Amino acid sequence: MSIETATASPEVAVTRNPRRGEVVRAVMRRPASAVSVCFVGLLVLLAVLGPLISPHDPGAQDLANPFAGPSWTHLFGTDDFGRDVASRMIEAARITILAPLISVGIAVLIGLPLGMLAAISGGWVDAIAGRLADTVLALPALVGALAIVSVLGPGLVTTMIAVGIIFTPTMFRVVRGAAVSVAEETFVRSAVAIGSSRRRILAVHVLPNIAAPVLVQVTILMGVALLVEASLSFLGLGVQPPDASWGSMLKAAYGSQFKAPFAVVPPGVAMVLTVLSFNTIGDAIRDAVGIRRRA
Amino acid sequence: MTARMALRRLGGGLLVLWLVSLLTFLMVRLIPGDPAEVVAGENASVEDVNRIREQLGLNRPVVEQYFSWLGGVLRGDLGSSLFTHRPVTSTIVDAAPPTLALTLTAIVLAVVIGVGAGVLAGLRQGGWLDRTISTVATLGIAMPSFWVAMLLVSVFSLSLKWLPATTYVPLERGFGIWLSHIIIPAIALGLATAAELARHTRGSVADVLTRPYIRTARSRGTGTVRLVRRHVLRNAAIPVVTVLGLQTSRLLGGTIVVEAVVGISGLGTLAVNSVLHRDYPVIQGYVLFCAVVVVVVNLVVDLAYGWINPKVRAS
Repeated sequence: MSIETATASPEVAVTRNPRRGEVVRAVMRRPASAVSVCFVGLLVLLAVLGPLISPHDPGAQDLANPFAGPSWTHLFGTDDFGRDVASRMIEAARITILAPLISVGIAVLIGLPLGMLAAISGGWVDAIAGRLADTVLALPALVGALAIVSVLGPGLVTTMIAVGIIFTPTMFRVVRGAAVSVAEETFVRSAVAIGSSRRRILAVHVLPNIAAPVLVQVTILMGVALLVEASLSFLGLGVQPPDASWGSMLKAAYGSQFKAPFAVVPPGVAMVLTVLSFNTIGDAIRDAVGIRRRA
Repeated sequence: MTARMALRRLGGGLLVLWLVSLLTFLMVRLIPGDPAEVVAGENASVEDVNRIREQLGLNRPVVEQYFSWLGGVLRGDLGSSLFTHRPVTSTIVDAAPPTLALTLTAIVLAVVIGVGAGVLAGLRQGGWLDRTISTVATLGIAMPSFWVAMLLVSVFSLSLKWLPATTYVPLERGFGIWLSHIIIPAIALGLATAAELARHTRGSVADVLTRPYIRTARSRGTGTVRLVRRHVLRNAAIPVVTVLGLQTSRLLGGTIVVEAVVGISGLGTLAVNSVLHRDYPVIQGYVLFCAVVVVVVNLVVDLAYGWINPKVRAS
């Protein structure tokens, strides 16, 4: 536990006052991260415009033509009901994007204010919040999610809320660590000295200066959430049929892998590319913020 | 690490464990509605519901429930399964060996492959080997373990028929057959950890190589093998231990899905089945078990940190 804090602090010290637009430019200058941003953008577009651009009706069954291999009519083949896999993947992209947003949203909504509060208050508020964070962190994400799902019952929304609760301590730690180092800055002390209210200090001075590490964490957690959603949907605890996510599509594909071994490839590749994109963007933001310090 | 620091860590770990136990206890009480009715299902008779209520200890005041439950936990008595009626402790102990074997094999593979690749990449910075290893590592971190397991089963078991596809075979049946069954899930489980290790090892090797004592050793004519063994590996061991500690959680969580893919009936399968059947005593036992593992590993890592790195011990 001590090691985590030890590795977290230098990263936090690095993130200082990136100028507006600078991070975006740095991310877009690198080919890898620019491609990643485009990929995520494309995915969001697919999720929004899904029904308009999907080549077939994702629900249309063609029972005479199940487990078809890839062809020009069915780019990724058909599934056990003869449904077009490519169209179903486009439909599932919606859940695949929305589900991590629920989890990360919850982590930010709870972790951000709590982290800033703990950093600025110190004392027993900080101590209690820190212990609670340690407690939740003592559980692997998937195990904690399983426990919460066992209470709330299976289903996509409850599952992603559970994952969000599990993510909260990580977000809390990042925010707290960054906010503590910002709070020691002269401009924050000056603000305290001239009698700025606590709320104003947090909103005007602390929040903009911890935005970068929070953003890094958000992109990384998006990828993790996507993997956890896929895992839980694969186990049958997440998204329930007839809805589908890439994870539940993998579950179905794996069940019929003797007949259609190729079926596990497209949803899996889509998932890896998405997670890879989020990780690459996160790394790029981190580096962009780090470069400034060295300069 | 001084004895006082070690004691403080131990105290912190115990506090976390106590909080986890409190949360696990409260878990059943947080179920919306009447937990006993939820567990019993829709068509249960009044007797069934009452029996389950008694089994979960819900018919007594909460504080009394908590203390009798905590007393049981401290004695190693976690109650018994609502379905098999077997004690939770022995259910968990029985399910543990395959999971343990899987996790340990994954760790060994991850350390051998990850550290090896990381050292190679660090020594050949910027070369094609470094770039290949870094790319594979980045991919490895993004790949869900259960998908890797699916692909490996699909290729090596179903198409090539080199390896058996499913189930776990205990080591007593012979090393060869044991290994042939465990290698696919172990690779799938350990891949992300190997990738993470490779990245960190590469970083620390690259860092160590810039130090003056390396230049000194080189100028004395020390060969590469000796240089790596004496100077580089020792200093690179610190991040390896750190990463392994942080990866415990991922590995424990990973066993749940990987076991489901290859049909190993270990702890992960037990956990998923218990969630599907709402077998709360078993879920509570599993959650506690995982928390104990994570807390103990963290403690060991903290202590090992001081042991490997004399600088930490001194401060």
